[in-house]
Amino acid sequence: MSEWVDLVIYATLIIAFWFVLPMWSARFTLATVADRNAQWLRDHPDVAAKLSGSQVRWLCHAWGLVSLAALFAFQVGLWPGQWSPEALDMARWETLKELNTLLLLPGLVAFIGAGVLFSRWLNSTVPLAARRQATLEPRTLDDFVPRWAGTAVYALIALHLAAWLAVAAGGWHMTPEFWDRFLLMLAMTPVFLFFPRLGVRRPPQALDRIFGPAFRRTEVRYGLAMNLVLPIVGSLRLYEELADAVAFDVSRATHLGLVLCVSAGILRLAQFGKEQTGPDAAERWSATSAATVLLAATVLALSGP
Amino acid sequence: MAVDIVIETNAPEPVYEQIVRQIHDSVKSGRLRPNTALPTVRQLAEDLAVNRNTIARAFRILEDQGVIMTAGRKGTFIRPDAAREVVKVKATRAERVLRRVIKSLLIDGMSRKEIAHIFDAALGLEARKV
Repeated sequence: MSEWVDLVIYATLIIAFWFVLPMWSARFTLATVADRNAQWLRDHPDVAAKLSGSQVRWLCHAWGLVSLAALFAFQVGLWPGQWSPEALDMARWETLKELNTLLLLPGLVAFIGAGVLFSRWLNSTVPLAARRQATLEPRTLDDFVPRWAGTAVYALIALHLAAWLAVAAGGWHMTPEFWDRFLLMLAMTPVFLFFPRLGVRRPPQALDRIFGPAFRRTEVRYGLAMNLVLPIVGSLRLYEELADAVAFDVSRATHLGLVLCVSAGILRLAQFGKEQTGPDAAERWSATSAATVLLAATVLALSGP
Repeated sequence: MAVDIVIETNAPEPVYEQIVRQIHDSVKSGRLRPNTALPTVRQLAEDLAVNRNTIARAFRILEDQGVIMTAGRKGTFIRPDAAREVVKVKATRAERVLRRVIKSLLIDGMSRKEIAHIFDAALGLEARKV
């Protein structure tokens, strides 16, 4: 498969993460503060003005442009020789993957750091409103996902783990990497199972009150759907173990698949709130671009090696 | 349709009493039907951003009054006869309040006839307001 496919998939993530997401979240900063204490926000118009004019999103956009330029430069060969795939003794797609990760990590740390700082400022500066409301309704997974879907996913996970256990017990594995892969599957399964549970259990937040029950429902369903990743990847790995054959590059496909899932999640998230405030032109353009490169990636992937 | 609880943390009435009162009102009005499941103490405490002990206290009072029942891991539910228990609780509370007032008036030297007359007049006035 051409590395151009990898490039456009990474470009989708960059556009979603550094353009669509900051623009979308900037629209709801004031609403988040108002949800905590609307009276306090009215009493502090200077703070409201400062939050509205925040420049953080422009830093995100700038980093997104740098990331896109760096990936494109690498792909067309405009890259220092000592960091070329040949010099690093890595496959070209692997070098592209590492470069994308390298570009993503610092920005991700800064993004998360900004989020934590904002949360701390909010909790320490804006007092909780005296008047609070809650629904007298218990929240369970069945409230957000059809029971048959939840049961099917959990059954698939159980079957998947049972298959690995059977191969381990029967000694049918062919490769020396079997135990590493087995332990990874065992360790990652509870991590993925945690996501839908977190979506159900977390307390209502500003975005829940702004967007309504559809927001949490989407979050829980997305978290549950992510649980299909391990059985799919695990099944391919089991095939390799049993047949001692390589169907295709599972590592590469898994990584690209995860990137696509995250990009899709961000683009879906950005659909919320269109009724409330309406997207501005720049956000519409970004979301459309991300969808376009996603389509391009699909076409390229299907068009041949 | 889901019933909401609204609390005011700066009100003179303690938060746990606000929760008990609102659940009483919802049961009496039929908005909370028998065998309806309630959220866990943890969930309600997190949703209202109050201490778990506050919710636990409210639930304990409701359970002692026979309004709710806890079925272990299955959760907490409105009892089938909750509405009747709520009426009983309110009647008991009203009787306690009235007895206190009557005792105070008797100590002040008022006769039973005078107290009854004042009570009827006050009840008539309040009934007209409602």
